[in-house]
Formats: sequence, C-alpha cells, structure tokens
Amino acid sequence: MTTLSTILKLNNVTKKFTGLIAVNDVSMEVEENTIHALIGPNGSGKTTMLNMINGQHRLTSGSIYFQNDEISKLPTFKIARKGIGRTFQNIKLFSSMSVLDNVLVGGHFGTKVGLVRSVVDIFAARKEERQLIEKAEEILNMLGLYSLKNELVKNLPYGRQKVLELARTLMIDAKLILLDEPAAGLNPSERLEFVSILARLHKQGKTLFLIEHNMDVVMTISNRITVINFGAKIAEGTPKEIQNNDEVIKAYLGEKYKAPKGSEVE
Amino acid sequence: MSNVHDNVENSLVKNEYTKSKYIVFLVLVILASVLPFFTTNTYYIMLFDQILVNIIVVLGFNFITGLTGQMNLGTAGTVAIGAYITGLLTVRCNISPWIALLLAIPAGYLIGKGLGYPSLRLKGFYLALTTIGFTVIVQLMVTNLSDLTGGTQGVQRIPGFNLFGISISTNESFYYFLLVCVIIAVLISIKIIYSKWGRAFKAIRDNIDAVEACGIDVADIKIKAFTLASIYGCIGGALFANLSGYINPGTFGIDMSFNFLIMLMVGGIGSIGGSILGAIIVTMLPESLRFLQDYYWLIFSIIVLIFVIFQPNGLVELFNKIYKAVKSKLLKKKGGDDIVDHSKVK
Repeated sequence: MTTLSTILKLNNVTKKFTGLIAVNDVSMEVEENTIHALIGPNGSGKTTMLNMINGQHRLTSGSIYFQNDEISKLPTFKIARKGIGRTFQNIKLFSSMSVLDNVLVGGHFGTKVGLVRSVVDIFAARKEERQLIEKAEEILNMLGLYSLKNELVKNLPYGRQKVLELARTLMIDAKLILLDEPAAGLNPSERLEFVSILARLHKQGKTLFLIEHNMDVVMTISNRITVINFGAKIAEGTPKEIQNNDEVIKAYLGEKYKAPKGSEVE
Repeated sequence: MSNVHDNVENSLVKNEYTKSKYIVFLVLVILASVLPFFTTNTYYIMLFDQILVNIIVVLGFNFITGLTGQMNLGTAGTVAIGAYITGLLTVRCNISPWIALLLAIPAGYLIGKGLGYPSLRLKGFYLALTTIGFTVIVQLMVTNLSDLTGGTQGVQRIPGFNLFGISISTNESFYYFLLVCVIIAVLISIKIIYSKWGRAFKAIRDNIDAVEACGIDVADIKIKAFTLASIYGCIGGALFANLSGYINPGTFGIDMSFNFLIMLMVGGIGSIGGSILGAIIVTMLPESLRFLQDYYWLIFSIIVLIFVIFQPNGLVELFNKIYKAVKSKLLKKKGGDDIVDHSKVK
C-alpha cells in the first residue's frame, strides 16, 4: 500500500540486544501530515524503535524507508539532514549555551561558509549568521520562547526546555518529527500548551510521530495509533478503534479507557 | 575574552560587553609591548618569549580540549613535529625559517587529519590514551632516527628570522615578533569561537547525541577542532625552535602535554582569556618558585591542585566575578539609572 503520502515505512524491523529481542518484526507506515502515536507498556521497545528510525541503533534485520529512500543504513546525522528531527525522553540540550545558540546549532549543517572562510571572509560569515539568527528568532517567536532567547538553557524550567528541543528540530527543517514522551513531566497547563503547539505544527504540514504515556494527550491529538507490546505490534488504528480493542485494553490501557458504547471520543 | 559560561551577560549587554572585552585586549597588548622596557635582564625577556609561544599552543589546545571537550594529550607530539621541521629544514637544508614556519601549517593540517580521523571516533580515556601514544611515538622517533634528527644530541644552532635584512634574533626583537604572532592567533581564535564553528564545538562538549540529531557530522567537527589545535601546536613548535636555537627530544615528553593541560585548567577551560592567563601563570610560577629549590615542583603541584579544586572554571572566572561585582556596585551608585539602561540595551 505504498502510496505517495507515506512518509515513513518500516518493513519487518527487528532489533536484538544480545539475547533480548527489543523489537520483533514490526512493520508499519506513517502517513504524511498526520500525528501518529506509538504506545505500549514500559519496556515494550518504543524508544528503541525511535532510535532505529533516527539511526542511533542499527537494525538487526528489516529496513526503514523515509520518502521512499532507504535510511536504515545511514548514520544519524545524514538521517537528520534528510528531514527527520527528534526530541529526547531525557532532554538533550546544550546546557551551557543560550536558548538562541541552541536553536542555531540546528541550522549549522545547512550553512556553506567553511572554517577558513569564516575567518577570512568576515562579511560572508556575518551575512550567513544574520540569516540563521533571523530564522531561529522566527521559530522562537512562533513557539513563544523569543523573550527567553538570551537565557542560559540550564536556567530554563523543564517545560520550556521541552519546547526548545522542538524548536531545534524545526531549525533543521524536519518534515518528520519524532517525539519521545513530549508530555512527560509537564504540569497540566504546560501540557495543554505543548499539545496546542503540536497541533499547530501539524497544521503547518509537519508529520509527528510520538511516543506518549499520557492517554489524554494521545487520544486528543493523534490521527492514528500503533500499539506495541513486548516488541511486537498488537494493534493499529484510529484512537477510537484502539480504545475498543480488547487486546490493547488488556495489555496496556485498562478498562478505564474503554470507550463507552456509542459515545464519540474527543 | 569572556568565559564560555558568561553567555547570558554576553548577549544581554552585548555592545557594552564586547567593547569592554576589546578594551581589555588592547590594554593587554599595550602592556605587553612596553614590558621589555622595564627589564634589561635577558633571562626575563627569554621567559616572556617562552610565555608567548606557550600562549599560541594553549590557544590551539583550547579548541579541542576546552571547547570540544575531547581530552587530547598529543600536544607535545605536534609541538615536537613543528619544532623539528623548522630545526631540520633550516639547519640541514638551509631553508629560510620563514618557509619552515609556513610549512608548520600544512604539517599541522596533516597531523590533524591523519591522527584525528582514526582517534576521534574514540571517547574519553581511549582518546587520551591514543594521543599519549602519539606523543610517545613522536618522541621515540626523534630520539632513535638519529641519522635524520640528530638523536639525543638534538638539533643545534637553529637560525633566527630575518625581516628585509634586519635580523630579529635578539630576545627583544623576537619578543615583538612573537607578540605579533600571538595577536594574530588571538584574533583568529576570537573569529572562530564566536562563529558557528565555535558554537558547534561547544555543542559537542555539551551533548554529542543532540549534535548528531541536528544533522551535524560530529567526527568532521572534532577533526576540524583537532586540526586547528595541531596547526597552532606546530606553529608554536616552530617558534619554540627559533626561540631557543636548540631542540632535543627530551623536551617534548608527555609532561609537556600535561603542562599545557595545566595551563588551560588554571586559566579557564574554553576561554581565550583563560588560555592566555593560564600560559602566563603556569610559565611564570615555577620560575618565581625557584628559591624553594628542591621543593619547588612540590609547591607548584600543590598550588595547581588548589586551583583545580577551588576554581574549577579557571582564574578567568574569578576575574569575571570581580568585574561583575565592581560593575554592579558602580551601577548601584548611579541609583535608578541602571534600570533604564538595562531596558534600553534589551
């Protein structure tokens, strides 16, 4: 069913860590401009899947295609250059640098002025830097971080740091953004804000693939959900289908999330 | 010449801050250029020359270990190669020391690429060990290839520079020549550190995974930082050979690498001002402790230890703190003015 709108495709992906099968023969597709959630119990292999997609883990077998190009053998930085950005479960920012500088690092690979030229040809370097800063400030503005741009990252509250990670993925012009537990550790109002940011990005044409434990978030924003358990895919479908899937309820959701008959899930 | 940890102040009051940085730099240059008038003792001038050479090497070392955070202990090896290129080419082949000095640049480049490519895939201790290995191998080679390098006898009577027929071989004139070299080295360092390259270096120190996820080839950036360090190191070595006129393998041992590391630690890791300060203090300190005779290495080590424990970000941070304290006091005296000032700057 490879249509043009499939942005990411996993074919029989398996990952073994000496003796332990973390991900077992998973095939799935993420369609362009959707919010696709990956859920499952702790240790079911969700982060491993994300790590394989962005090249931090090598696949034991299977293959991954991004916009019909195989990416499963590429190093992480090349995958990022193709347009896959990601955020991390335990935030990975450049803590000794300012908010603006953190975003600017995301723009580095797209620049052209080489090391020698940035010393010799000051004007070219300055012009390029100005363009980068303009783009970064636009992104910060959109995400409501502009007023904090000169703040050191280590002084930012947790919620802001999460948004900043997202800003960095926008700076690399990611078409597909992988989010590892974006709502974890956020307080309710921060969570609400984050969800609205994600919805806005979706509207702008980004594809979001996220791991999340907070079911309110998942059920509200995702178009499609994949459920894995013990490294194997057990269900896939719309939020409503997932909420009514008995196997998913047994393995992960619990009775609480079972959608009452006839009701619409918002 | 700010510390990397001062980014906030740096950008909040950017104009004021950068201006004051350049003023500090200018004052230092002026101080340095009148320094020889205060002493006629050639020993001191020689010591100042040595400081300037060390500043160049530490500025380079700062790229790889200070900014990029990769523990490189191969500095002595690169300095040795730079020194031997100048020594051998000028003495054996009668080549002008200028050409030898210029050749230090491609030599440093080759070391950076050649050693950096395999070793920078390694992390932490393993990188430290390989670079120690490099220093030891270079030292062993210059010791044992005695037909080529003169072995333990070293290379003697290395000629000084000539500028349009004027010899700059006296310690005083060489001092000014070195001062010009240091100014160029500092300006290039500033340009790189405050560019996207410096930002990428620092990002690698802070979080490698995130740098890769940003589409940056980490190995390439590390090799660039390492190559910069080797070029600075080779140039420092070449100048060292010209300065002392005599080189032998014993100088370029692993303790020399550690010495540069101590300079960086004492001065302030990741900072240009720190590199300069560290080079000055760690070169001067042993000399000023000579009166302790047998105990001076012991006392020196203790002083360094105290520095590392109580001032882990280096002396430069102490200076920054004092600068800030003085500034905030001055602002307070002005009363409400500072509030208006800040909003203007923002």
